[in-house]
Amino acid sequence: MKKLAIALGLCIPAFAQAQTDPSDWAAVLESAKGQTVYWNAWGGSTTTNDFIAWVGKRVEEDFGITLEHVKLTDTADAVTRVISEKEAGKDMGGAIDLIWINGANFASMKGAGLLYGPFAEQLPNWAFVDTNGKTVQTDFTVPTDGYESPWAMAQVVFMYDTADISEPLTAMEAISTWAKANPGRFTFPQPPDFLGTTFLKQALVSLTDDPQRLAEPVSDADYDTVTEPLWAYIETLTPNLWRGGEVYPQTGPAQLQLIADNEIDLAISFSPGEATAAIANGQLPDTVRTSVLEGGTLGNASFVAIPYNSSATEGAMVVANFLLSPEAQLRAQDPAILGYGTVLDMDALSETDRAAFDALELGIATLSPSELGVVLPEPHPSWMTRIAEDWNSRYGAN
Amino acid sequence: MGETLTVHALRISLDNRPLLDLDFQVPPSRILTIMGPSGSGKSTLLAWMTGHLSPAFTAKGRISLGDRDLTKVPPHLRHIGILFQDPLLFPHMSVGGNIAFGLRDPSDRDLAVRTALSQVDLDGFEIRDPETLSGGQKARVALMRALVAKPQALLLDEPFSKLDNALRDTVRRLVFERIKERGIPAVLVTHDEGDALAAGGPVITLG
Amino acid sequence: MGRSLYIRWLAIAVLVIAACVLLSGLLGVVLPAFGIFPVLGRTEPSLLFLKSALSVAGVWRAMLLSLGTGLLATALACVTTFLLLAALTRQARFNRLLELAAPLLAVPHAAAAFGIAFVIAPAGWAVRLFANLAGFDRPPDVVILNDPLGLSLVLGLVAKEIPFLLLMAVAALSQTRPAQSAKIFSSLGYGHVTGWLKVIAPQVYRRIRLPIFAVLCFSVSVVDVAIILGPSTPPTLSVLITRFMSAPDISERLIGSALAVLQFGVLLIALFAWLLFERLSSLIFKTWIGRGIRNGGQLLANAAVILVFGQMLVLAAGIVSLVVWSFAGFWSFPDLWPDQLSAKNWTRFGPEALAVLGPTLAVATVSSAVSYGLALILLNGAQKYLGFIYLALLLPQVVFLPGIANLMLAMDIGASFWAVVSVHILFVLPYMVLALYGPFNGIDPRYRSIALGLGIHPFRVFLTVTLPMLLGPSLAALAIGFAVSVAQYLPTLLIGAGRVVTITTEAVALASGGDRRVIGLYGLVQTLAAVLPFGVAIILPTAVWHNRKGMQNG
Repeated sequence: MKKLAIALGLCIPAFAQAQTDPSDWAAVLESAKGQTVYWNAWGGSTTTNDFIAWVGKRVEEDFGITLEHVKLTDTADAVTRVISEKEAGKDMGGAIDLIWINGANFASMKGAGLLYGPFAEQLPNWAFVDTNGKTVQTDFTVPTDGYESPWAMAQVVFMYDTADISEPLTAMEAISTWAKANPGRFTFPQPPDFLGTTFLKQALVSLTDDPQRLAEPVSDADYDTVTEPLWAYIETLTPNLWRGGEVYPQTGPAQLQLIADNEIDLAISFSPGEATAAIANGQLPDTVRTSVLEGGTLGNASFVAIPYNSSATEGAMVVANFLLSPEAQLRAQDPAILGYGTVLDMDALSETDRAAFDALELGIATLSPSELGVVLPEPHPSWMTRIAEDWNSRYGAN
Repeated sequence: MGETLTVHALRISLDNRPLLDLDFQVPPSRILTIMGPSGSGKSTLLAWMTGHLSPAFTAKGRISLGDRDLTKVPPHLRHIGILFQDPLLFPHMSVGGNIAFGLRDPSDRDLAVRTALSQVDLDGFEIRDPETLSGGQKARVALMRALVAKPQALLLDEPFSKLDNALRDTVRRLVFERIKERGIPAVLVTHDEGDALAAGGPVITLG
Repeated sequence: MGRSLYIRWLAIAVLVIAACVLLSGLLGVVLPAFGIFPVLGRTEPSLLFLKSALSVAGVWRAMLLSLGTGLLATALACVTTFLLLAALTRQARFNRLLELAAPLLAVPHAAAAFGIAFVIAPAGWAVRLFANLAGFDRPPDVVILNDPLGLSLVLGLVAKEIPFLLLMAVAALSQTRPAQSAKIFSSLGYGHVTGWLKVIAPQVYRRIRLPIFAVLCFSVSVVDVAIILGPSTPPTLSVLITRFMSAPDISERLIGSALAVLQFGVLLIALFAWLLFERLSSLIFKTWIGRGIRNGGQLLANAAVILVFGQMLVLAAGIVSLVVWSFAGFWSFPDLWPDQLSAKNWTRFGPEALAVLGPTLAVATVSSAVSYGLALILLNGAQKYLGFIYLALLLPQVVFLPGIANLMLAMDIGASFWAVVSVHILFVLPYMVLALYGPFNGIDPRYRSIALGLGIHPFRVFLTVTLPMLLGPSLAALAIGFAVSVAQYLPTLLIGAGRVVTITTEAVALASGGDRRVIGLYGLVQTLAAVLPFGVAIILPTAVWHNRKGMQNG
């Protein structure tokens, strides 16, 4: 086996090409031609998969790049891979060229020096990005420093079935009161699942007396005080959850199935357009609508980053740049396709592009930008880790 | 004609305890009978002679055919055939296939098989499934399978013990006749005195 | 026993290489567990992480769950398999039954678990049937799946393991001359079931002990089925490890590795408990045999038959549900059937699913063929040292694979087809050896003596006597190896780094999205890929040996 492996190892071409300076875009395009870019992205959403396949088709046509979508169950799998490669001293020719990433995974990879960059702000299409109105230069309060490039905006919304809930629940307290009157009809993905932890963060942000405090790293000194309202809330809510809080859905999309099975009537989502797309795909009943909270809901951006040892750095940058193009952003925002919020600044766009964005139908269950209301910033990633752990010892291991 | 089978100064031991001490010669056409109760080492002796002794045993001594020393010769080059108490026909081959399996010269396979079967009154059995044969028929096929390979000695490990009395005499006579006809030495392991008598050669009693 | 030196050296070389790979995987677990993790700049050993592992919330309960569900599932699967064999071996339709069991065996665990989940869940088919009769439109809010005691996990595991044990037992059965034994015990006045259990079962058990251990190890450390059917607050230990190994904070991996060391401990306890259980039941068994009771097994066996058929029904209904989901549009509770059936899912996802079938089958074919060769080398040359290769089955993959990935990286072996194949071999080979060990050693050694005495070269003896006599078990082993390869998720993902994609990596990635339509479709394609070889394994020997009664099972 070993002999075989060595013999075959020799057949693999050495990836020894110099990385091109991102500000020399013509040179980047030149080197990118013919490269194969392995984009590691969560593969659980069929609509996203279709979108990525479309991106692949387009970059092939325009730039001669082959894009392979490596479908992950968890972004951490890609992080593990890069760590292993670094451990093995494989500083070139790594297996991953582009990662869909944000939050704690980004903080972790950036901190360990596993990312290539800075490159994001040198991308030609960066000029269209809305750097003032959208949190595209910090990721969960961590400065991106050009080590990742944004491609979609996300915001917390609640999906509810109008067949069972007539009026939207617009405050955390209202959700708890409703759950008390309708036990077993609400749940959230089990932390440390990303979306489940987001529910905890949303509750924390909405309920805490001092939201500003959350922008700073967590500290033992005031952790108990800051999170006290959150745990009081969860303590009241938990017995009224689906299955009495003994079982939780393991992922965000698993909630869609629960609504379709009429097991629950209310669920959290991080994509304002998800409900509309799911209705179109037959995953949700057409009675589902979305709502936000009065004090605002958490929002963040999805990014792509390039591992430090990518074997197609230029190709990866071209893909990142293409994702910022009005064409790609328009398609991503189309609720019939993906329904992701754009990261672009409408004022920076040409007349035709702006008109195209304006002409997009919102979709049956999607709120308009004004209805989506205030976007609250993400807390520092250390909060996320800490409250997920804390939740786990309180409720995840009875 | 055949040559003399010699076992010289054989000592087989297990965990340093001697199990067997033997020294004998079997001239061509003669049948040496070895008798003894179960566990006296009869099968161990045959295993050593065919080159299949388990490494758990230690053996000292030599085996030779004529002036050829076989002690270090691998099993398949010793030309010592063996018959067990079960006929052990290869279940995946036809009767003819079983016999042809040992043929040294495959050029005239069909004729050789037909002749061999006819010698034991099994004409026309070539394509039969061995499993459909009676006990006596199986024993006869097993004998011919051993003989067509032209062994220079034949070892018999209680080959008649599973046959009923009437059949036993017939098969025994057949086997002994063939051995004498081929003029090869044979060693018969048994605990049946009738076998020993019928073999008509010297008898060694173990245990 | 006179095997040639050449084959012995070859076998030892295979073992040494396998052991090296496994050891490097082990080091990749043990070092971080003791605090050594150079990427984070940790080079000093410490017990800190083992201590933190023991204070992880719910870890004790997780260990108990792993131990309890693993032992219970194995014991149930084992007992029902034997009762089933006792009840059915004399039936003429027994082979028919096996033909049904084999495809069920090949159904990949995750697909089976999803199918079972849909049948038994509170919003599942069974409840829907009742809901339509009783007229309610909300599923009852009761815990069935993911129950805290892990009973639904046990059910899922048992349903999946019975076909495996059944196939192993049947292969072993053909070596024990059951027909003769049956004649003897019948003549002594024993009922078939009782006689079978007293005379034949012990012989079969001895021959399939290793497969049973494999089932035990698998059940104690399974991840995918436990995620779908097992409890989650807390989950079993192996799932807990997965959580730590996939945490964004890289230093959590140190705790994950420490948990993996605990997992190893749990496994040893499970094996020890099983040995104890063996002792105990052998004592009870001996008293039972000694009493000379001649009947009474029948009732028990009938109960087992009903139980197994119930379980197989659930599993089969689960697979049917995969089919229905793959054609479903919107499908709500309490409808027994989707609103509309269409080929939409197939046109949308089908081409992609079929496209990855190519590499899936290629990896499975090559790795099971190579493993078969290696298994024969090992069985011929190094039976004493086979223990090594089972290590691959004993450790949770999630912790020991990164170690192997590191080794391959260090040797600069890219994420290639061959890299994936060689790691698949690591997991396929033990199952092959398991499947072949009994039958190989069950061949009467006197056949070989006879053949060598006829002057045939040992290699030709192997080719013309041993191999043909092993045809049935060989094909069963190849089919099992194929199915094992098709079902590999983590090895393909970590070693293939997403550059080698199989139907299973795609299926699991899509399953995380929870869309039953896609899960159904991929589960089906995955099942087909694994089931096909079983058809061949069952039909081929019967076809080849149709005129050789001595080569038929029974």
